[in-house]
Amino acid sequence: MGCRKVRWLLALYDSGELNSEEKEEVEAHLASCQRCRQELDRLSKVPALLQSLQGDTWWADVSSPVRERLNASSATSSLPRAKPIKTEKRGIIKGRPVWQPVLISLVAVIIIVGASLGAIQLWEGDDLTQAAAEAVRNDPQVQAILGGGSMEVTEVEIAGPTAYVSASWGESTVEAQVDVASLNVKTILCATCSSLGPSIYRSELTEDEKAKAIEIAEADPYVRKILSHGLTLGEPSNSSPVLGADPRRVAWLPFEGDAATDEVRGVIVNLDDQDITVMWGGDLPSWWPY
Amino acid sequence: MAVLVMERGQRIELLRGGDSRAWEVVVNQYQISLSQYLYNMVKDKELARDLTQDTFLKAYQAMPKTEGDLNLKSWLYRIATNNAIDVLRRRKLISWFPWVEGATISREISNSHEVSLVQRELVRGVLNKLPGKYKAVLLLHDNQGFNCHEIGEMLNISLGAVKKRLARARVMFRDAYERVEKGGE
Repeated sequence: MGCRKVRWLLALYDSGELNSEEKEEVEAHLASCQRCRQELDRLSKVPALLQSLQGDTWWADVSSPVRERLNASSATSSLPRAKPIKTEKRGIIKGRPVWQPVLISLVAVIIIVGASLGAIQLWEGDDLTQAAAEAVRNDPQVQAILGGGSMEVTEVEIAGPTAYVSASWGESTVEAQVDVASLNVKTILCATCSSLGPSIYRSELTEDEKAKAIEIAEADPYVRKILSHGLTLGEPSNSSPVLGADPRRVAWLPFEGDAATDEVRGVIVNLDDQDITVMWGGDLPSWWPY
Repeated sequence: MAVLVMERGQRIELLRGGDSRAWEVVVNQYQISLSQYLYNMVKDKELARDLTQDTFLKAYQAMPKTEGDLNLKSWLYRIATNNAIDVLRRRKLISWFPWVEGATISREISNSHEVSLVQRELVRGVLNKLPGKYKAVLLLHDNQGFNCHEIGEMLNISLGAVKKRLARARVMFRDAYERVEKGGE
């Protein structure tokens, strides 16, 4: 086999894409051709260069826009509606509709129960703006990003159930989304945390939150049944595969000890209302507790 | 307490039925790798973001029309690849790339993090010189880890054609990269 014919096989030699016959041909040729050995050497760096792109930390979080668009299209299109999931004994089990649009019709007044005072406070207009700004100022994660300095709230925009609050200190800026009904700080976008542009700040759960998540999950009888089959719950994280939920208030506990699988398997714990969702992708084992 | 059980096949059925939770999981499972793949394809973050979004919306719309067992991951990558090649073709995105500056910087910067940043930009710049179909095969194989057989099914071309395309893409990439290393262009 001549150099010309072997040339394109060389480019695939390192990647396990040649059959044994092709491989033998290449090896026989390489043994006697210095030039093609050099060529192979120059080609073999290509996959490594392409893999260097995997060090990228940038990625596009499209969950919210996709959710909005899908909600809009499912409301208007003739696509079949979601079917409830059936299991044998439990009948029809529907999860909490995490992905439904939040049906909070916020008129002018938001009622907030002041837990410490036991009183009812009314927020409206400027007061709501102030309250949202205050919630962001007091948020420990915002403080951590902004270095705990005397941050300046530069903008508060209230759109429906969410207040968008921009705050900065020195060079650092964040945009936090605040749920106006509860005044909980939800997603934090940090424009200056990474050189690659705005990204969602995914803070770690606190140790208390992790402990609480494990406690809630392990107390659930259904989860206990699953765990009795040699599985354990992994470290809780907030990288929950649940869209639409506040990533800081939902813990994801993967099932571990299972044979290697790329399926999504684990427990989602909503730390606010203690709602639990068990996710099990792929085939069901024979012991599955229906 | 809710239980979301997805048996193989059942998941696809849920997606075909437009089940929002099943789609949530799909978006979360694939948005990182898809958006990074698309970014490497088009070398433009905003465009990559739009294309990622578009990929999921197209998948959602086309899903009820699919039949039988579907390899979801390959199918999403097929949509993404077609989207990207289409955009590249229409926009004729031939972006200017500061070859020499990039190459010089990489020699001067001692900080390894920044070196790898520059290195990645170099790789993306070289990739950007390749026609879309070669770029796609190269990224799918050498960056995303699909094998030639899977790529063939994804792009609807024969195994032999994928291998030829991959071989050619690697040679083209290597040649362009070496030109940059020598400080040319």
